[in-house]
Amino acid sequence: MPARTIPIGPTLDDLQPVAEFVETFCAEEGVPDGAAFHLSLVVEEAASNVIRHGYAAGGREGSLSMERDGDSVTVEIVDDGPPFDPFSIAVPDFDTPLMDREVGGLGVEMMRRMTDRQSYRRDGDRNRLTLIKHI
Amino acid sequence: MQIVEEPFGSGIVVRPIGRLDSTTAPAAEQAIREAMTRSGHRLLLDMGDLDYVSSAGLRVVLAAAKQSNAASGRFLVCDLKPQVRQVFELSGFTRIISIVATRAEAEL
Repeated sequence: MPARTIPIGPTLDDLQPVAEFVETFCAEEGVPDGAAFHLSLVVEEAASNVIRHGYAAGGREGSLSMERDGDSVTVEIVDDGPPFDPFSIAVPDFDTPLMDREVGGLGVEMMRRMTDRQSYRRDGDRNRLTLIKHI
Repeated sequence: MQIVEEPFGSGIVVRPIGRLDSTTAPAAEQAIREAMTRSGHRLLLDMGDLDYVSSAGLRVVLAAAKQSNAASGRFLVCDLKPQVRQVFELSGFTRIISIVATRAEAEL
């Protein structure tokens, strides 16, 4: 199947059609429930980064593409915001006491733990984040 | 997202239904913050009807735990579905949030 693509809209409310896109993709491609849940999560984390970081800093265009190839699904998120490598974010320290705990870094940690391969590169004036999950 | 709230023990139980994600988190955070204040900072978050929690949802849970803790209150979470528990575990939240299996086991 060729890759399917959807634009990422400017506000967090626009993540709803993105979430529906992932659900439809997974249903139509026969992705098992557990893997589909992980894909929904990592796409939300990556797409919300585009809105929070990319668009907030002047980016105007972002998109999500998904493609199934045999036993793996490739997720690609592209945006024209300033260079932002999510994998440069530190892993959260789980020993931090409650009152000092923050949520920063958890989304990236989910990408690391819920997909099998992750890569980021600056491609011209665009960020290109690729996540591959075996299903 | 719908949020159902009712009295529970000496406090309040709040039950969000559906998804706690980037889109629904702001309204849920406000609803839980207000319920927390009304309950005298004694709140049970029943996740039995929650199918999905992202880091935006975890932020809401963390804010509630901090709010309760700062007021020397009590904050419990119950009835995590397996996929939601997985997100809690992966995030280290099972170490910092008080979790009980079911509502029947929760005491406020």
